[in-house]
Amino acid sequence: MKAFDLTRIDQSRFTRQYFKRGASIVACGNATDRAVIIESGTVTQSSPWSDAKKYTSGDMINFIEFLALEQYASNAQAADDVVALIFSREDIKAMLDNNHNLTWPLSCMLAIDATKRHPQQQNQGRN
Amino acid sequence: MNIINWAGQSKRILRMVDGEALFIAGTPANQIYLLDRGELSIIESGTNHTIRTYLANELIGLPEVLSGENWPATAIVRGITDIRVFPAHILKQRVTEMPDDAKSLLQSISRMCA
Repeated sequence: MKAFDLTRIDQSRFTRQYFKRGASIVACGNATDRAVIIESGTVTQSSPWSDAKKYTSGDMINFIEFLALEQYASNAQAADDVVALIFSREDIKAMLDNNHNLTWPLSCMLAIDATKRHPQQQNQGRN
Repeated sequence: MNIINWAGQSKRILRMVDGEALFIAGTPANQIYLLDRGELSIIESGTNHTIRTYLANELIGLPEVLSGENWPATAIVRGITDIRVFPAHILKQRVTEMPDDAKSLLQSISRMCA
């Protein structure tokens, strides 16, 4: 899911990280206190939602889980060399709030509902 | 802004009792509900199977209202339940005022609720 236009993101809001092919980028159980957006490369996800989902440039990894849960429920691994932009939860909230002050709360509520409708995720912690 | 607080500003509160239906599958989703107290079961049409349950402080109906769909299932109250009713048109009006990329994001997340 492309939540942001990479060309318009404030450079001061993220740190850039480099992952070699095969490296774990997000692991099930990691706190959702940071969000990961792919700048370049391909990431594969294994999750209760869908197996082998692929993320490419501009995609936020496990965005629904980030919005709705306290911990990620899926694993994401670099399928090739990946450059990722790492954001804090506060920065993502600020970026969405800057767009419109209902964007963050509505996104979170929808994401919580989405996880509720996927029983595999009901046992995960929620925000 | 906290959406729960926002929806919670609704002064219209329904008190319902065990077994009453809050909404019926196939009818228009033109209200959002915030459960103040009690429990709500979502029942799949045809099978009477409970597909999910909502508890206090949970919102019901956001994806359906934003997508303009009819209720895909029936909601049955469990026990004594207080429910705040929030008209969909107020939320829809606010969403209409949002920038296109925000609307697009919400639509993308809504589709994942289907």
